[in-house]
Amino acid sequence: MLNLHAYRKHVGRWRGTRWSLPWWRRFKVRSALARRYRSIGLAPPVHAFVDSPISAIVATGIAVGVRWLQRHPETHVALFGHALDEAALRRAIRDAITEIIEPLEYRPDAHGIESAIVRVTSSPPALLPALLRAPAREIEALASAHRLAAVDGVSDPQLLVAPLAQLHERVYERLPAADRITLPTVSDPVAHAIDETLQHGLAGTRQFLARVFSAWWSTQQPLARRLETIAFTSFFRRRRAFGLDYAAARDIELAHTAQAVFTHADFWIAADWPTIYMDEAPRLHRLDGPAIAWRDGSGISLLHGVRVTRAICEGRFTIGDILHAYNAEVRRTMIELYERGDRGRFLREADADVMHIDYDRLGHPQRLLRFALPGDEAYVGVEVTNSTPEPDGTHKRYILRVPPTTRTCRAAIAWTFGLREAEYEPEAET
Amino acid sequence: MTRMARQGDILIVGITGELPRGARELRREAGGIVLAYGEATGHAHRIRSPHVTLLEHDGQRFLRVEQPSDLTHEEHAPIHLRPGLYKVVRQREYEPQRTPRWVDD
Repeated sequence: MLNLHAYRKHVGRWRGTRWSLPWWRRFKVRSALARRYRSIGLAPPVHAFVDSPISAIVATGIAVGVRWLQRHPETHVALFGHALDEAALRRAIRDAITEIIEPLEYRPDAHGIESAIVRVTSSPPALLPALLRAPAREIEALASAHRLAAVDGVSDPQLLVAPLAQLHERVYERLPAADRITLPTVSDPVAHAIDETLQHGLAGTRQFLARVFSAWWSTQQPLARRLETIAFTSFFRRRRAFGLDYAAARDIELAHTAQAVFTHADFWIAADWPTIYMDEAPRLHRLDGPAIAWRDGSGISLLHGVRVTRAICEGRFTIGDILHAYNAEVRRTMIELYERGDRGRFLREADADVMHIDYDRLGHPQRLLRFALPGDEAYVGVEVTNSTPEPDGTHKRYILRVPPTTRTCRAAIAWTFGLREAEYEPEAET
Repeated sequence: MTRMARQGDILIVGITGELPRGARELRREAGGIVLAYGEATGHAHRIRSPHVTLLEHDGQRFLRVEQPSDLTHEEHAPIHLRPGLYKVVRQREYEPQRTPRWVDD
């Protein structure tokens, strides 16, 4: 029987992995990838490390297109209207980067992406082995040239993805049926968030290199899925009974010491890990900034583990946005942000129902307000008046949130001091 | 002894009998005993009298008042405390499925 406790622990380690890439880890990634390339008869190519998977994905997608253009100079005039000298190619790269990263809420540093592309495409392209060549057909239909370019020389399936899937399959076949059922799934919220963020890149790109990027990215296996397979396979790689190709499993695992790695016959690009921020649960969570933040400026906003827009995360939203929030936890956090420095603002502005009215010892009115929130418990708050007047003689009013079962103003105030309604009898109140 | 008095977000509740065993005395700050600071203003619920001791047991705070003393705050009128033992209760706010958050003046 499978030791589920040990498996969960192993998976948790993978899920919780937030390494950085100092030189010795880069060395491991380089060595492992060199062995993977040799295993399919290719020389280890030039490579680049970038600060984030988003930069790595954009750089790889465009570099795939650049390599194809370098192999097919006969297409340049038809595709661009002029021959592509070095300066024109640099311009095309720059424009494609801008087009792809423009819709992102947290844009990675474009210069870093450009440098990586230039680095991995500066040597003359090698002769591609047959297995990595795009289907040989006439490049007449320019409308589909980007799709042809997107698969030309892309070596991921042979290097990492297909061997990993085979190893996964082999282990799975040897597992007893009962274990297959109880095996917990590995789900990495960071990888999921990256996959979701880059959905943007798949629609509406216009420039040739940006279209190659979109076509290439749409053929890639989601990062979250890759991680699941690696965590699973690496758990079984020391267990001989599962008959894994130990070297292959180890190399694939080591290659993924980087957060993401993308390969091509001529180059590979690997990404560094982010800084992540959690709440006490712990779930990905950060106010005022991205909960997943990479050094190059890219990032992803989450509140209590739920993806939100940058505007919501930074408190730029209206009361209508709060009411339309699809997740109760996010709505609560939005109310919290909305009321920062102005307690009770939400109830005041949301046209809440008045449940009860009475007067404090000094004759100031008190109100118990209630606002129903769809799919969540009601927001109930007691509006009270500060007993001590301000210098101008007015009295500050504020609202305190209380349990939704509260029925009277007095019970609400008593609750805020941990007392029942009958117990709350202050002799003096200032 | 004052039975119950409130100054903003602080409630002082008189108690009879002894303090719980093991209650430990908390250090006074330079300006006296501070029961709570405001989050943004830096204002404080403060007792300057040297005849008052602040104690703590299991997260609950107590005051031992030996001579009449005043609880002051920059925005609230003072509360006069007669000699006796008191429990200090801080006002809290409801947070769904989370630990209540303290209220700060």
